[in-house]
Parts: sequence; structure tokens; C-alpha cells
Amino acid sequence: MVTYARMLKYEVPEELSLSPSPYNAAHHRFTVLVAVLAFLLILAGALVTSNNAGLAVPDWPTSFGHLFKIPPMIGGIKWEHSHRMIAEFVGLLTIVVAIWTWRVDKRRWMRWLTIGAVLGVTFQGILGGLTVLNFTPPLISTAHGVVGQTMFCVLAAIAVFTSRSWLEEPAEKMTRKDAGPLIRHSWMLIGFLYLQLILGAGFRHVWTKWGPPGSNHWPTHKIIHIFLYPHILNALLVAGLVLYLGMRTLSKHSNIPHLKVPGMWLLILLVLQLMLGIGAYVVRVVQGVDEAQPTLALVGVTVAHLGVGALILAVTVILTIQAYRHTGEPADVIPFDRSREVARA
Amino acid sequence: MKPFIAFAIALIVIGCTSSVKTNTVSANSEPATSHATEPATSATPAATGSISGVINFQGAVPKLPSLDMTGDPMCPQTPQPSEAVVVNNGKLANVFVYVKEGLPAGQMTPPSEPAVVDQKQCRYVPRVLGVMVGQPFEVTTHDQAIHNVHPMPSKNTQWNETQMPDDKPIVKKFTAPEMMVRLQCNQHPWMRAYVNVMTNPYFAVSKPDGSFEIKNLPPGEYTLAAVHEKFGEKTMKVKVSAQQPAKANFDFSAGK
Repeated sequence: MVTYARMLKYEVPEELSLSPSPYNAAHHRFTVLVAVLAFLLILAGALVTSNNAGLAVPDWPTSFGHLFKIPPMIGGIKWEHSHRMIAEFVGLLTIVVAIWTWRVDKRRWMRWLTIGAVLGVTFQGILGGLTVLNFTPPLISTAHGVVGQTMFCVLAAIAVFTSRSWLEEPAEKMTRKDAGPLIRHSWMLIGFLYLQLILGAGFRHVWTKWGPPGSNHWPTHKIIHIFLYPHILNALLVAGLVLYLGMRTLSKHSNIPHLKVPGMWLLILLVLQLMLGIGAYVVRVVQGVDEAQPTLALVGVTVAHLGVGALILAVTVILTIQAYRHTGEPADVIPFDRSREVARA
Repeated sequence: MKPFIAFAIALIVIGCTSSVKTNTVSANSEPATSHATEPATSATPAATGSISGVINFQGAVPKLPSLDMTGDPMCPQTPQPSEAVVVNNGKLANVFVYVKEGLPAGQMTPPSEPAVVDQKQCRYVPRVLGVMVGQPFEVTTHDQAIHNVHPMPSKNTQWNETQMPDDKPIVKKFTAPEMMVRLQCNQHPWMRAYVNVMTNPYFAVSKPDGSFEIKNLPPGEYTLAAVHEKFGEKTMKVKVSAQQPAKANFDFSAGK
């Protein structure tokens, strides 16, 4: 509670900023690898939904009655079973991250964070199983999508926390006054990105389950009104916040690479994501209503849209984390003193 | 000697009976439309009438992209035509025609023989069919591909079962009336069929020449409906009298 109150004042709690652990290159590289694989897992999951193959393997946790036997990787099975295999692999590697962290990292919060990651990844696996066993109900499938991206962000954060730059004292810091708007707007962006994620995943799963590619029980205009229009509207708010944060980090904090680089990436990803969003609307809604099967364009664009969305969320989380790391009142941040400048002259 | 002859005759009779049963199963699975589209009789033919007609299609026929089944090597590897809209000489096939209003309320006795959907060349055959509530609904396969049969109803229980090559038929029953239940295969997203679960046997599916016939209807005035997966539903009033066939032609177009 105390820590939370301090974080609201843009102070990094001491136990977070202190770095009693030495940098372990192998450990850090491994956490980066797991985060990258978690991103690939998100893409693999997106491929399942875009190919309408969520129920190609009807049982869980077994696949066609077997735990380890790989079924013929054809038709929808190749998407669904690949997703399961990558998920099992990422789950296993997350356990390794936790064990490794407990062995080499002295930070208590970091150790528990990796335990949280293991629990989160396990929960995500169970959600995936429930999705299959309940015939892909949109609520559970949406939760599966949201938790998946959350776990990706957690694993990306673990990679940041184990990096050399995090463990060393930052060369440059912002004053609390400067950090305030940056941190506040970063949190706002995370909130709006989650809303965007829920609306996007909701649209995707309701459309696939009850819309034209599925049972067709829901009229298309109903799905569009409930999920897609709010998604488009929220995209404008997200775009506004990304523009603000991107411009702010590039102009006001350009001396801090750990803020400037995420800010720059946010701007690049935003442009890409807006184009992909328009593309996804065209292939899914304009052209996709009458398609007898998912086209290559539909699969490619919708998977890319989802993937870039996940990257934007992760980059925003990293920006927020780095904003805390680079905040402080400090010896090296000297307020501008006009009288002293005049005296010198 | 006599007991031996009697035993031999008994064996032959048992053998014939079992072979008849086997033939019946294969006959069910071969012409999949036979049981699925032709209603069972529940009134005396002499006291009943029928409705026959044609489904016309007006205007330009929508051009649908061909199906790409190359994702599964066990399916046809050349582009296949879509069956979502089948028009021959201005006549529309795969339209489900049924008596929507005018029959006494309640459930009629379903036939014991199953309504059959087969899987051939990675398609459901037939694409549109009717089955009565409580009637066995049988899914067979003649493919070497792995299928998974997945109806998506809103009023009946959903199920999703894998059917391997040479697996025995899946037999289920629907418990509530429901129109145009979509049958999917999550291995092959292009595979689609529409099952109409009815409380009465008075329905038919338009043939490739657009014709349909509903037989053995009790005399009366009915609302007849024709529903197509792309073009929606149309209705008309029809008067049926004993021994005098009623005519009912429907006109569909791309604009519905």
C-alpha cells in the first residue's frame, strides 16, 4: 500500500530501484528469448482464430487422446496444435526463468514476479483449455486473448528488469515534475490499450463464433455496433495519447534513450497499426462477410493487426517502467537558476 | 438329417437378414438426400395433397470465389466451385421449403430412419437438409481426410467430434426445432451444411433444376416458406386439397 502510494507520486520504491544483483548476461538473454517466444505464441494464437481452427483439436489437455503424440499437421490441426506446442514450450521456459531467477537474482520482488509469471502462464493455459472444451465461447476466448497479451508484457518487463541498463544507476533522470505528465499519460494509455484490446478481441471472437464465419446467429451490424465502432472510436483516443507520449519523449526527454526509443517505436507502430486496422476492416467486414473460407489477405492482415497491437501494449508498459526508473530528485538534476547564470555572465 | 437341414436354413435366414441390414446402412450413406429431404408420411395418401413448384432465380448470379482445399493433401488439390449459390438455367438449388404455418401445433412422430449427411471430397453432402426433432441424424465419411463435425445450433446442444477416415458414422438427435443450423468442420473452414430441425415431416429441398415437392399434406391452407443460406426467406399462402396438387413457385434474386 505504501509502495502504491509512492508510485502515484512518481517515486520508484527503494526496493525496486536498488540493484543488489549483479548483471547476469545469460539470464537476461534467456528472459529476452522467452519474451520473444511469447510474442510468437500470440501470433500463433491469432493464426488459430483467423483460420477458424479453434476447435480443430476437440479435446484438451490431450490432443486426439494423446498428451505427447503429434497428430497429422494438416487442415486446422496444424494451426491449433502448433499453438498448443509453442504454448507448452513457453510455459516450460517460464518455469525455467523462475528457477533461474531464484538462483541468481537477489531482488525479492523480482523472484516473486517470475512466480507470478508462471502462475499467469498456467492460468492462460487453463483459459485456452476452457475455450476448447466450451466450443470457443467469446467471453472465455476474449479473456484468453487479453491474458495472453498481459503475460507477454510481464515477460517483456522481466527482460527489462534483468537488463544491464536497469541494474545500473541511470546516467540521466527526470525531475518528478517532468516525469509526472509522462507517467500519468503512460498509465492512461495502458488503460485505453486494454479497452482497445478487449473490444478488438471481443469483436474477433464474437464475429468468428456468432458472425458470418460461425453460426451466423448475430447480425453483422449488431457485432459491428457493439464492438467495432467503439474499437474504432477508442483507436482515436489511443492515437492521441501515443502521439502525445511519442512527441514528449522525443522532444523533452530525448537525452534519455530508454524513454526516447520506446516513444519513437510507439509512433512507428501507431502508423503501422492504423494502416493494418483499416486493412483488417476491409478484409474482415467489407470483403469477408461472403467469403467461404479465410483468405490469405484476411489471415495476414488480422494476425499482423493483433501482433502490432500486442507490441504497442508491451512498448507502453516498458515506457512506463522506464519512466519510473528515470525519475528522481537528484544530485545530477540541477534546477535552472537564472540569477546564477546572470552572475556568471 | 432333418435337424441339420433346419439348422442350415436358419443360418441362411440369419445371414440374409444381416446382409440386408448392412445394405441399408450403405444405402443411407450413399444418396444422402433421400432420407434427409423426403418427408415421412403421417397421413393417408388418399386423403392428402401435395405442393410442388420451382425456385426461380432472377438477375445476375453472384460470382463466388472458388474454394482452395490445398491446405489438406487429402482434399481435392485443384480449385473447387463454391456451393453457396447453385443456379442452373435460372433455377436455384439448395433452397429449403417447408410448411411454416397452418399445421396443428405439436410434434409429429419422427421417422426411425436417419437423416444422413456424408463427407465426400471434403464437402458435406447434401448441403441443405431437414431432420425431425428426435429423428436420428447420421454423419458418415467417405474421405481419407480427418474431419471434425461441428454443428453450431442456438437451441440444441452443440457438439464437436472428430471423424477419422473409415470411422463409423456419428449418430445424434436434435431435441428442439431450429432453422438453418450451420454444420462446420474446423479442419476445413469451407465445409458447410445447413440442417433444419422440424416438428413435422412436410419439407423439401430444391433440386439442381430448382424443383421441389412436398407430399402427403393434409388438406388445408398453409403458409409455405422457402429459405436460402444467402438470400434469406420468402413465404406465400398455399391452399392444399386432397388429390389435387398445389403449385407454388418462388422467385429469388441477389438482392433478396
